[in-house]
Amino acid sequence: MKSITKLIAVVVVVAIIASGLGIYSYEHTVSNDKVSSHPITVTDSLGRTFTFNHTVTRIVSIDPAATATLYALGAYKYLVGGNEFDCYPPNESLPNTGNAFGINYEEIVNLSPQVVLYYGDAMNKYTDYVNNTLHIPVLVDNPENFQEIENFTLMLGTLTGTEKNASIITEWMNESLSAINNATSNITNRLSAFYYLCYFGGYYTVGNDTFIGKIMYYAHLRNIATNPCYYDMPAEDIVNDSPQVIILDQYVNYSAVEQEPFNSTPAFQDGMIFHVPNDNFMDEPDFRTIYSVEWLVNQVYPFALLSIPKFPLSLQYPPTYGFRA
Amino acid sequence: MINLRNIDSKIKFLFLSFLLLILVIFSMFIGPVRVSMYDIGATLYNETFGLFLDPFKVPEKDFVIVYYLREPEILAALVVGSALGIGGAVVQSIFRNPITEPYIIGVSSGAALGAVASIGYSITFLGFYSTQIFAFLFALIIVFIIYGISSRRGRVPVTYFLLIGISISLFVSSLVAYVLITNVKLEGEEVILSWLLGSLQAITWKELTVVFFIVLVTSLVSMLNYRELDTMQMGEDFARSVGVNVERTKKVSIVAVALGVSAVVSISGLIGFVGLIVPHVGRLLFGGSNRYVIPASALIGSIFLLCANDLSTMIISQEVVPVGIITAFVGVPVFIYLLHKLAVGSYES
Amino acid sequence: MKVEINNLEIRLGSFRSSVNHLSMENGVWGIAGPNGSGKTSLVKVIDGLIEPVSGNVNIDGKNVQEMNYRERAKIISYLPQEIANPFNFRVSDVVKLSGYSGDGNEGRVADALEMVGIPDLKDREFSTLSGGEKRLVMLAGTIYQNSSLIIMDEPETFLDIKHKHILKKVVRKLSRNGKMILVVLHDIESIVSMTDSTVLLSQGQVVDSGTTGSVINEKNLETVFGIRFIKDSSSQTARFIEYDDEVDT
Repeated sequence: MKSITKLIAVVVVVAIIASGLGIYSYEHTVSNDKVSSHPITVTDSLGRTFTFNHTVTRIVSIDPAATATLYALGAYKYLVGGNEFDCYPPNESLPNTGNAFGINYEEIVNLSPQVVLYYGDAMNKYTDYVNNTLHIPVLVDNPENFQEIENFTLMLGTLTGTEKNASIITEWMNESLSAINNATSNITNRLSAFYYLCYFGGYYTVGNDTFIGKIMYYAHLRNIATNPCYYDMPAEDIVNDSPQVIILDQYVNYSAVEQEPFNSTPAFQDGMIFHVPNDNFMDEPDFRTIYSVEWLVNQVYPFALLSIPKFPLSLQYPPTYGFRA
Repeated sequence: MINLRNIDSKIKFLFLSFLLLILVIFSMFIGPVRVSMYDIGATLYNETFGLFLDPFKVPEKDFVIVYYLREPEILAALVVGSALGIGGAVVQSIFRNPITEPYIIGVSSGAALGAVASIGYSITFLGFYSTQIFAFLFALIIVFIIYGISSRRGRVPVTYFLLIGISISLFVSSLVAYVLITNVKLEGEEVILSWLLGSLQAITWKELTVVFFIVLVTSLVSMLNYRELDTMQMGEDFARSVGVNVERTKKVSIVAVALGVSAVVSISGLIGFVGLIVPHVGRLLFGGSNRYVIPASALIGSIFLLCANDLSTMIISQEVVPVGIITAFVGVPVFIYLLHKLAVGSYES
Repeated sequence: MKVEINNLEIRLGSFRSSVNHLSMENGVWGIAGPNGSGKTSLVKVIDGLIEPVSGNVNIDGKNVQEMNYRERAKIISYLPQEIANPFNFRVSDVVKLSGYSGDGNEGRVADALEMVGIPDLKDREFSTLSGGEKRLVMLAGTIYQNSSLIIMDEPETFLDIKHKHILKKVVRKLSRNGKMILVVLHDIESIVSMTDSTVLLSQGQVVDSGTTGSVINEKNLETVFGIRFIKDSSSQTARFIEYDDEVDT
């Protein structure tokens, strides 16, 4: 019996050592579909620089915001793999390369992309593996404000040779932000607001450092949740801070605010309760986030008569798809 | 019905080894992408003989899938399954308790704390992404804290150890929960979710090699202790009276289990259920002696985890389901069936 | 074989026991006394399972506390009072465990089981046995261990009449084969019928020790148990019947 254990141990050791040897015997296939031949250099939001010999034509996106941006840039045709959370443009037929639990590595390798787009504030086990072990560059996107969304959009433009469209989009974003600023500049007091994210186990809300918290700030609101991250706000604090506006996430029912601690707030009594029509516009930081700010301003301050410029590019599915008619 | 206990142990071990071999070969073909038999065979040939003989031509894509994705996953299933199985056998013997498992000595909560802390506070180690190293170190630290607190005048009474272990684990788990809900970096973080559920994906050859040797050494240490662990099942007084240095055995075994299980947990996350159930299947097949139960637990743990991992890839096409979900989901009904079929009165008193 | 105890002091929680001097030599020794008198503690110290606060136990001049577990197991075997339920062990597996420190050879497991009268239980699952059968298996283990001193802690627990009879026979046989036996008992009748000599304990102290005939008398029993015993004169062997004042006889 002991000899069997020994034998198994020896076989496993030999297998592991052997497999570490002749690893470089495979055919290297070179892609022929070059678009422009001059080398390009891009920097992702972690500050890492990548150089490509030509603009990329095979992209895997594990970042729904990147998928949406590529579509608006007219670079959707370069996308060879999408992910479970992509929802703009709709009716995606790309292979699925990732979900909430992880990444479908085999599919990524199979699609032989030149670059993988990912979302996050640091390299993690997944992106490390794709970048360092599978040797596919991973560009990470993590915008914390509109400036960074614009940078990411421009970066994707450079990457795919759609710089022109990228500057058209960022210009539109700047004009829209000015319009928002102008419309709200006469309003002296920011209304206090509470964002009701989820009611499982309490009153989950968004803190100031979260992306939705930033959207609220752009929309000229004062978030009563002053902690940085997502958290469960004590009911007493909600009553005490008496928010003037309550924003309900897409999946929070209106009935949730008909009881304590909300029914005593000014927001409830004045009917200042607004239901987000599509939380995708709140959760995915890309150029479409402009529309969620516009929506919030128009709900809360209708007298400001905010109107932003029309989106300058013609797309089969308009950027407001799924948000408003 | 044939009583499986009466079949020669050698035949049973040969059968299990054969089953494992078949599964390893089978698993080479399982994955979201179809890779031809020729390319798999050629890759394996190139890996083993490629340096000395002319290699076969394999497309890069298929080579990467086989060499970087499937092989590490299969070997990780073997290493993790063995370590958890052996850990379970040893811990159940020390505690004389059939419902204990290796995580109970503090490994899981410690590793979880290390993992969430390193991700949540972006701690790096010499510039490397450090979840694995932190999970490993924290797991060991928590085990030693529990061991230290449980020590009473040079002895570690097992009931005391068990209670301290459970309470410290709960204490640490609440710290983990605290970090999870208060740290903005962990919001919707897929990595930590899949780590907490257990996954064999994205394990590098380098990590695997280190963990393999740790598991190899700690498994041999546990195996060398099998007679001591057997006598301890009759109670510690009995073990001492027949000449076993009970405290030394406990110390050596717990250190070995803590090292081995912490190492595998650091690369695979918290794969549940294997350490609890696998040793019992071993005992139902081979009887209670750890001489058979320890190696059998390694084999059965490997077989079980490999099956679960294959299922996790096949269950929904194009999707990745963490293997930790499958181990319990599939393992529980299988185990209850085995218990009914094989127990033959063993667990009835 | 000679067991000598000097200035021994034992502390277990709030329980205290002290033995100034006790010497036991060869034969079957009974350790008797009421519950909580320190019988089990005393034999556990002799086997090195409990560390005394002070004092020492010498066996043939060698200090038990200074031996390692293996050396001790070669000269002393111990039949515990409580029997654990191991996972899926067969009777023969359990008996073999006692050979941990020896060079053990397979033939002796059957001999040991034969000696305690249960050779046919060899392949049975240990956990399915009755309490009495389990005790006999453990007794076979102490025989298998082949030490010169055998300590039995309350061996009669769970034994039925037949098994008690077997136990007495085994003790006698082991004694004839030159083994020294220390047996903790609380049944006066068993002490009288099984042992050559007796140590009588009360509240952690040795009340009397010597030949069983001299130690087990009306006066000692009354001191130790707090009730009166009278000798049953109708019996061939010495037999004590407890005497109740309140009932007219």
